Amino acid sequence: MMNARVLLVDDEPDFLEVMAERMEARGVTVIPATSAEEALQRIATERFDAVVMDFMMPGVDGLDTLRKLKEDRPELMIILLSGYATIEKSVEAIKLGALDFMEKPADIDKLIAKIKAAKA
Amino acid sequence: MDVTVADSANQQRERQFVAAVCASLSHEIKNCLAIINENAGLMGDLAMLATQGRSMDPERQRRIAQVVKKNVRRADQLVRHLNHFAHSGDVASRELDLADTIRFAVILFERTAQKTGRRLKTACGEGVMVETGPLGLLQLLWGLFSAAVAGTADEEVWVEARAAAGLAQVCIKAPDSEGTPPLLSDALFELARSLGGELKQSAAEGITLNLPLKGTGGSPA
Repeated sequence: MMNARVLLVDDEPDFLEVMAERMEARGVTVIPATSAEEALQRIATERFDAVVMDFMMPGVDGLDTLRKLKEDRPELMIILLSGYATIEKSVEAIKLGALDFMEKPADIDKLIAKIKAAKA
Repeated sequence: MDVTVADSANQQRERQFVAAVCASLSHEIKNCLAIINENAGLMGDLAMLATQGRSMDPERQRRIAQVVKKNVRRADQLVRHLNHFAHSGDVASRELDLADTIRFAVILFERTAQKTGRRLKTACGEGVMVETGPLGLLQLLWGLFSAAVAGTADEEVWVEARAAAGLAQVCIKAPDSEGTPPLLSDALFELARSLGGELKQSAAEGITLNLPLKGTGGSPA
């Protein structure tokens, strides 16, 4: 068990629920959030080892959210998930401080390994 | 502008539109696949636990199957939309039901609207028929929706269609929006003309697209 505390952000409730359950089964404490706004509120008051966030959610630009998260908490490890993103967007996200960019459907064991590496 | 250069610019805009629609739909399909993938993974996790002696809850399995089925249906619908969209380029011109075309254009644009926190609502009179280019009309509607969404802070943008004064008329407006009308590019006016239509805009009325009704011929201009 690694005891990492992760904020999981995705606007798809079906994805959020099952992903949280699978991550919890692998020893991660998951706090779910369904919007970027909720994620920003959470990180203002709570401590997380990492944020795993869908890059494209309704009402927000993924890069803007990433920028705000890093402004508020520069030390935060952020892993982005996306159905698809251009190489340009991925590079920009990494430049803004994202730890990694994973394409959906993601391999949960690779995701857990990245979280573990972020916590180490 | 040189005719060849203008054609090339139009083709480039058409390619960009097709690419944007394909990107949006494929992104949605990937979201469905991700949910199906995670539920398959969860079944694997539960099966693994069952080999270690933990019982598998039938109700939990039923719920997993339900979510998978739901997302298979959703992905299937998205592929249907993609296929329908692909066939809009089959012919240069054909008879189109305006209400059906608008509703389909709204479906295609839905995710783009959501990204900016907007929602398109439709109120379309039935049985209004036009004869024009299907792909071009979808491209024009996409461009008009983009302009309307960008030009308002309102959450809702209304798209209405009707037959009026011997024309097929599409009106796009954010009801609570005041002041300057949305900024429309010259390319949209040109595209409307190439479809036999005419584009107008005003602060009070929003965007209006007039198209000739099928069988009436001529230009509304």
